[in-house]
Formats: sequence, C-alpha cells, structure tokens
Amino acid sequence: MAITITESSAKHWALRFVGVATLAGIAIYFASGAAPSTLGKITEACTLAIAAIALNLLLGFNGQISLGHSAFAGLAAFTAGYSVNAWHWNPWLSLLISCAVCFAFGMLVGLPALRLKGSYLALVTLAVAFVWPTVARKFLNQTVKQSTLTGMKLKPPTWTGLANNRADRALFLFWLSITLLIVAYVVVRNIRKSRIGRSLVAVRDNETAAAVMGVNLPLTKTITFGISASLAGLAGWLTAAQLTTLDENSFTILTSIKYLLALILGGAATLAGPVVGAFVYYFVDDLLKTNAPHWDFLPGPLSNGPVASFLLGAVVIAFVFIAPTGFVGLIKSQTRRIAIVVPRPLRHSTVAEASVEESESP
Amino acid sequence: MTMLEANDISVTFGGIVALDGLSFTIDDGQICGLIGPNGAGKTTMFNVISRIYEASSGQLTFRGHNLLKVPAHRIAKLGVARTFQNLALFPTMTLLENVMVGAHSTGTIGFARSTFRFGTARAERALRDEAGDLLFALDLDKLAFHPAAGLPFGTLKRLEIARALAAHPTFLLMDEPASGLTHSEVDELSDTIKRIRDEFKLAVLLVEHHMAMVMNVSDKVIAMEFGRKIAEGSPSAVQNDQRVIDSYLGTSS
Repeated sequence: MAITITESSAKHWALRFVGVATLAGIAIYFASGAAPSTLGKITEACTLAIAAIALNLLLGFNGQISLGHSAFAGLAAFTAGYSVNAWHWNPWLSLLISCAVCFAFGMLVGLPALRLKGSYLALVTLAVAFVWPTVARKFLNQTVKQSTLTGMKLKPPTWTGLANNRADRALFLFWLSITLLIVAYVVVRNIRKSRIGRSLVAVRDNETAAAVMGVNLPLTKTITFGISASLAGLAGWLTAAQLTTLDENSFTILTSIKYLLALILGGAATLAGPVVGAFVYYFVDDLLKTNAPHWDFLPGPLSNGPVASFLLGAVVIAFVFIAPTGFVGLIKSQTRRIAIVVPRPLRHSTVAEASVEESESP
Repeated sequence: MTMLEANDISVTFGGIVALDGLSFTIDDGQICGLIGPNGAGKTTMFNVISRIYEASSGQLTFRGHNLLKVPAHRIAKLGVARTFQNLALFPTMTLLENVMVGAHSTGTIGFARSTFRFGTARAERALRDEAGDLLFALDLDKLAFHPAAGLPFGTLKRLEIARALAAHPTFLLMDEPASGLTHSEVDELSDTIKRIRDEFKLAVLLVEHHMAMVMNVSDKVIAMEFGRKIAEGSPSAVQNDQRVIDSYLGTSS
C-alpha cells in the first residue's frame, strides 16, 4: 500500500525539502570537484533545459507549437554579444534587454498563431527558424564586418571571489546557469499554478469553451508566445555567455528540434519534464558521441562519427514507445506504488478521501 | 423585469437562413424553454447570445448592454454563462480545475501577478473553496481530483452546469442538458434546474427535446421552426398550439 501524502502538509514539505537538498547536494558535489569540462557540459545541459522549459510553456501547456525557438535564442545571443562588444554594455543589462527583445519578437511571431493551428503553425515557425541564420549572416557581413561575433566574455563578479581563469569561469557559469534554470522553472511553475495557467491549459483543451468562460484568446496566446520567447532568450543569452564566438550556425533549425526532443523525452505539460528531458538528452548524446567512435566492432560505414546520431535517434524512438508520457510520466507511474501526493481535501468535505487518479502536481 | 431582449435577430450562413427575424424577451428569474424540430435554429440562437456566431441583423440587449457589440470573452463577466450540447469541457483538467476555469471571468489576477505569484494566495484559496462548494452542490465532490476525460456522460453534464455556475451568472443558457441522460437522471435534472434557479437567482434559457421536462420546468416556452418563432407562451398554451403540434409535437393518439 502506497503512502499517502497530502499536498502542502508537513510531510509534503519535508519531502520537498529532501528533494531540493538532494539536488543542491549534487550541484555542490560537482562544483567542488569536477573538471571545468564537466562543469561546462552541465552548463550546456542547463541551457538546453531552460529552452525546453520555454517550449513547454507554449507547447505543453498552451498547445501552440513552435519550431522557431532557436531563432529567439539566436536573437538573444546576438543582441547580448553585439551590445556588450560594440556598445560596451553591461552584460547583466544585456540579459534584460535580450529577454525584452525576444518578448516583443515572440509576440510578433505569435500573431499568425492566432489564426493557425497544429502543422500550419509549425510551418510558420519553421520558416522563422530557417530565416534566422540568413539574417544572422547578413548582420555579420554588413554590420559587424567579421565572419563571427565575439561572445560576451562574461567575467565572474569580484564579490564571488572567483578569478578570471578557465576553471573559475567554468565554475561561475555553472552556478549562473543553475540560477537561471531555477528562475525559468519557478516562472513557469508560478504561471501553471495560477488563474492564468489554468486559462492556458483551457485554451489548449477547448478554445471555444475557454472563450465562453471569459478567456481573452488573442491576448492570452500572444503573451504566452512572448513569455516563452523571452525564456528561450534566457537560454540564448546563456549560450552567448559560454561561447567565445557566435555565428549563424550556432542557432539553426536543428537547435529547435533539440529543444523539442528534450521536451518530449522528459514529458510535455509536466513541470519537471523539460528539465529531466534536457539532462537525459544531453548526456545520452554526449555519451554516444564520446564512446561511439571507439567501437571498432561495428561494420565499416558505421564505425565512425555517424553512428552516434543514429543511435541517439534510435534511443529517442525507443523511448517514445516505452514511455509515451515522457520520463516524468514513467517515474510517476513507478513511484506511485511507494508514495503518492494527493491534493488537500475540499472545504466541508464529508468524504474521507477523494479518489485521486491523475493530478498534475509534483 | 426584462433581462434579455432579442429583436428581429437574423443569421445567414452563405445564403442559408438559420434564423429569420427572431424576437423574444426573457425576464429575471424566468426559466424559458426553447423547442422546435432539429435545424429550427435553437442552437444558432444560443451561439448568437454567447457570441460564437455573428448575427447578420437585429438587436440583442442584455441588461442594457448591446450584446452584439461585446466580444465573446466579455459575455461571462456580464453574467451570461452556458453549457454545451455535446460537452465542451477541458478533458485533461481535473473536475475542480474545470470549475475553477469557469470562474475565470470573476478573477482579476493577470499575467504579471501570476508570473511572480504576487498576492495570489488568498484569491486562489477562496476560488478553490468556492469551486469545491459547487462540486458538492452538484454531487461531483468525490471526483474533484479526477480528470474530466473518461467520466460518464451524465457526470460530465453536471460538471458543465457546475462550471457555468462558477461564473456567478444571472442568465444561464443550457443546450440540451437532458440529452443522453437516463430517465431517473432527467427527473433529477429538472429538480436541479429549479433548485439552481432559486439558489443562484438566475434566469435560464433551455433548449431541449425532452418535452416532459421542458413543460415541467419552464415558466414560458418558445417554439421555433425554420428559424422563426411559431408560438410563445405558457407551457400548456404552447403544447396545445395547432402549429406546434403540426410541425413538432405531433398528435399522440
């Protein structure tokens, strides 16, 4: 018999505390001993997680698909890189500006989304993703007059006590990416658990009914697109903080597909899904890329590079069959036998225990 | 007092006339039945009032507001709520959340406050309590945390009513609430409709084919055929109207 824990009870808080403490412990463990290259990888995984969270808000909760999120990330990265290098802006100011630019641009791209749905919307946003590298190349050729844009060269602030060398910079970026990941997670969690969050899901489930309930469809959809784009911008800015040089190939349609895969693997429309999915995707990909070239037993054409992407594809396909609701769905269905978190009972409830099947609260 | 006044409402869909100069009024607290054969334009009238369809001509006044100028999402705030003929629930959401979305128009917390969770706790708690009360009122509380998908039709019909009531409406539109219900559920529904009218002090416009129920609950009945009104009056008057008998009710020999 599974242990029943009521939401927001002392037990639930204890469970949450243990969970957060474990995650913090893992982060501190890596920060205190891992090589800069490992920290760099975790930073990249966090960046992917932020982008997947952004896509989750739009696709998972609001039901609007976007393949254009690579363009938003690219726009933010270029805004940050250019404003810091050419205009000598403070990088932290460029973070705010990048997100604001992405918010505005996201609302703009969200406008056609008011009339389009499903695969048609996918096509429009696909076009945005395709156009971005060309725009970026033109910008590099004509404005920057170089083949690449220099990254932000983000230095650890003095209060951190970190020096400006490779190891300390990696450590700083590691903590920074975790902080921004928490920010993105909390923003989406807050939205989901609010009046607005319910209206987003209502729009996804049944637009007509949502409108009759008083949900302003155009406003809700465009602002959601804007917030999602600005969260993708957060990921883009973080990329610009990591890379020494940026060019048009840093953010292509493949980047968007990576965001989408991470989200689907982890579990769309769950809060933890995009984070778990991003880490699983990133490290499975990394593992295969590192090890596959050494697998001499594979026949000729497979024995080198391509086998890694081939296997990654196979893993993704297999996983979608094993766990159609994503990694988080799989974990939930397994841990259900041990412990289950149930919502607080209703006021004046005469029923001892309301039956709980699926409630979306971690 | 007159609450809703429809004056000469017409709707055409590319040459097909769905409503042809329909006029009627509904008073405060009145239960008004709207009957007629399939295709008479009953659901079209519903969709005009809830602003899903545009009227081609005519006036529609609700408590002094020109309803034809109000966007669909403002209707709820004015006090008009509805249920749908073939269910338009939010299948992935729990019953509690469905009812909480029903109260969307009563809330004021927008994107900014939601994002930063700025002073939202009290409103959330009040909303949850109130939605829970509505679930109790319609005997849905045992399923509060169950997603709407996959529940029996009769249960979901009740959920539609609970969700509509969450908006604090003064005017409730019910599109065939009895369809698909068993005999005992229909009797229960008649009582429920009268009970919510008295408890929540609202007027009801009821589209229904279940004649026994319409005649039982309605204060007034409007009969329609081919987009036009053919009779209006007390249930017994409409029931005995020759045109209504000829076109819709038929003779029970």
